[in-house]
Amino acid sequence: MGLRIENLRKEFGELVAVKDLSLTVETGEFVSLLGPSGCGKSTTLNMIAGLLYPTSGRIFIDDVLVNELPPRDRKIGLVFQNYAVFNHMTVYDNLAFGLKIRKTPSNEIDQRVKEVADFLRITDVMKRRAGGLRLDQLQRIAIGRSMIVRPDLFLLDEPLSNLDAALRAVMRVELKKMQKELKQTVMYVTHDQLEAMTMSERIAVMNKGELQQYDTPTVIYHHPKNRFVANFIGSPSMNFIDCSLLEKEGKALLDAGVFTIDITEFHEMIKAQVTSSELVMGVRPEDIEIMNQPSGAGSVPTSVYLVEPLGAKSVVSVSIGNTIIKALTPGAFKAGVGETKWIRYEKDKIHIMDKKTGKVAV
Amino acid sequence: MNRRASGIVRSLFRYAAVVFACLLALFPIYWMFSTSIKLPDEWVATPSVWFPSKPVLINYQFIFSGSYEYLIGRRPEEATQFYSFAWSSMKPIFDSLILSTFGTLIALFAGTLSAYALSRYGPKGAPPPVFPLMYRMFPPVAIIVPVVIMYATLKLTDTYPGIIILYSTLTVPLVLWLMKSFFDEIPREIDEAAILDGCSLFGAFYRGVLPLVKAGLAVTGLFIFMLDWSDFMGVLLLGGRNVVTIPLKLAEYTSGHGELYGPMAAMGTIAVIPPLIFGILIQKYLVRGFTFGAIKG
Repeated sequence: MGLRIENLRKEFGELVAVKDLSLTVETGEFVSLLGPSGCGKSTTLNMIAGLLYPTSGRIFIDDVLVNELPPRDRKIGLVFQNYAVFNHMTVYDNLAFGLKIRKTPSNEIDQRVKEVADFLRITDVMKRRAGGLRLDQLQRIAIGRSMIVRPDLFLLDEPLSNLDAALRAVMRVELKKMQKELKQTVMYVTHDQLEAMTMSERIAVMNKGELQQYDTPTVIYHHPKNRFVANFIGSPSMNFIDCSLLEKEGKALLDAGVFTIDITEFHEMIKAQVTSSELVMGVRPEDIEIMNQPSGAGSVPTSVYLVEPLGAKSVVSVSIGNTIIKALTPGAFKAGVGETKWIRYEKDKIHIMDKKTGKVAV
Repeated sequence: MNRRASGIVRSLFRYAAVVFACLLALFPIYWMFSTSIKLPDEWVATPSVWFPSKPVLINYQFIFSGSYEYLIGRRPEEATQFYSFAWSSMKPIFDSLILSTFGTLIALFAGTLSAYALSRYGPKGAPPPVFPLMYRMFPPVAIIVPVVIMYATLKLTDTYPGIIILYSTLTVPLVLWLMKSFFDEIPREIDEAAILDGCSLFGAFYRGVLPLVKAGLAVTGLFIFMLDWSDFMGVLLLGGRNVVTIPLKLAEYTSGHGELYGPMAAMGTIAVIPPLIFGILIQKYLVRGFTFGAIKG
């Protein structure tokens, strides 16, 4: 087992930054901690690294309880958001720093620095001071410096957020490739759902210090556990429509005001999990089809509100009454504002959640 | 064409202003230096002697070797007395160097360590504590009286350790304030990265952070050195017999032994040299140090 966290809790005075978090990371697994800023993900990472002391709970790295171990004895590597590369040293010295502190013989240092530099493709700048290098080179140095001590667990704290979009895409691929090659256990902190979705084997979504859902990207995307996860994952984000549950003539209907949906087949399941008849319907933009003519019973007339062409796709916002719904359509979508279009969605693609608790029932 | 001409006029005007400012700033130094190579009758002549008629080194000889030839024929009866007095003129230079160097080093050492501790382990985002600066808010005389009494009890009066302790305690708060602002600009991740790499807390400071604030340290050092170097009050009240610094000696030239403006100017010129050398040595850090951290405007 790469990493096991049990009931981890961190309080800063009144503020509870991390609330009783438990999760495990398998050896060789790439796990992302995903959440908005202030959700406790960096705090969690710092506790795993040993830079913060947990209020309660236990942390195991490779089945060894590390709560009382200083950072240097935890066999971890940590890459910081701002890299924390030592500007006053050469790239070589930066890479060799950890080994020198650990009193590794110098011929071994030499060899391992070369290996790492080759791997990260920074051999050409080895003799230069780190101060004047490009951001992606600093990024590589930061990774190399943590990698060189061969950690059991690699912790990355938003390592790509200082890079521009193009470099970020490149580094994302490289990081993932590197992790696979080394079969490295990685815990990756990010607020960027795209990074989490593309790189991770499992994602732990956090909000306000609490673990919302911990599962594979596919499950998190298609079966979010609650409204927060549903909203946070996916771009453009899921549409939410307030509605209420009506029971009529033996049928169960979801009444959104301007349209109703027959949800008789889910009725028992929903009833068992919600606290009132106040519900929220969620449907992803890509699950909504826009049509020029009504077709089938589920079609709802709407008027076009805004069209945002993205090239291969377009985001079309349509309004039904006061509700704006976003739909993702393939190709360029041509429509004037105010034009009437019909939307339709598959019933099994919708998520129904309790308005009060946010819990997804179906 | 017109525009170009007005541009030239403008830059000429600008240069003139700069030259004027330089003259204003450098004139006292020129006056001191020129006096130091003047013969005695030109020191305070009326009308003023702007350029020494015959540059001589006798004032320097007087300071360094006690050579008093130039006094012969002028005030012969005082010659012997001048000789012994002059012989002791080497000592102030030595004393000033010792006291300022050690005072600065100790203040830098203690101040930098406490600034680092405050920056990293003190209350987050809080300004540096005002308390250590308190005794710089009173006039120095108010501070020095109790110190004189304490020193008398502790038998520190007129000793090297006594003056060094005085200098370093008076300047530690300044080091603390200046260095804390330099440390605050270094991200904490630098320390954390060093700690993760196996450094101790002190190792993180010494190997990770300190090299990054070298510029700040150099500038702070120069600032403190100049404060100690120009101290008069402290050594006047707490030294004087055994410990004599340059400022004290300078005062003596015109009070105790007549009006020896020439040797005084020569001594003043010598007094400029150590800070100047220090400044040149750390020149590459000066601009960086002044534009980084608290000293920026």
